[in-house]
Amino acid sequence: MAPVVNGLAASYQGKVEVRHIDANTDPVSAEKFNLRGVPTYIFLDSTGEVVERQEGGNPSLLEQGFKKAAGQ
Amino acid sequence: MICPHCHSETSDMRPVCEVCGKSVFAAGPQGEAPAVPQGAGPHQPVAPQGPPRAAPPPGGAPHTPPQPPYPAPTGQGQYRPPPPASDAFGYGPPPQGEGFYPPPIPGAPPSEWSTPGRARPTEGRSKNPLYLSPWPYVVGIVVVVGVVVGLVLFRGKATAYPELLVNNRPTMLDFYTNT
Repeated sequence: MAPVVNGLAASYQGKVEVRHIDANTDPVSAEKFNLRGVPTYIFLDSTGEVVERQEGGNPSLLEQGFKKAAGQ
Repeated sequence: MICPHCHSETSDMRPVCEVCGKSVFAAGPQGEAPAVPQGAGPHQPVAPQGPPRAAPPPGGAPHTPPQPPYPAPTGQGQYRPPPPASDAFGYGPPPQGEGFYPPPIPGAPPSEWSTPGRARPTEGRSKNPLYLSPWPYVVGIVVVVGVVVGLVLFRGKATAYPELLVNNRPTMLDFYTNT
């Protein structure tokens, strides 16, 4: 999924940022979102509210999440 | 079986002895078996025994039957009215007066139950019990409403994570592990 994520990040550069979090080194963030497994993608809007949450890898859904976060 | 008369062995399927011809049933005190009426079966019905009769009074005096244990009827066709509610079981009115309950122990602290039959003392008690006052219910309602409002108002803020934004822009958090 890394190539898909990198491709979408490049497409939405300037609109949606990407932050990679290692669940093992940052368990606090993982606990905040009640992480159940990896990979998990959580989309936050400009206010920090969660607008989309996806568990597992699905390229089409990932692009949908990018659009939601960007407000499109 | 052994005949009770001639003491010889005889069949127990027959009512009379095969040797002496007498009845095989138990003999009387003189050793004689009671005579069996002709045509009668082995079982004789016993005449019902009535109550022992008292000897007739001398001189032809009229016999007065014993009185029944229950009271005589009030009149022909009438029935005795039921007892009052306080005497439903025929025990009479409940005991009353000072002699029924033991007197209080002198010097003992006053107790609510030391004087039965009287109203409970109301000295030192609030005239208006708590459950009759509206304030406990008002407080309870305010607390419940406050909890509900707090959950509704702060629920949205609990799902916001502005500290995780990158450059204050919409951000995608990619959780992974290096396993």
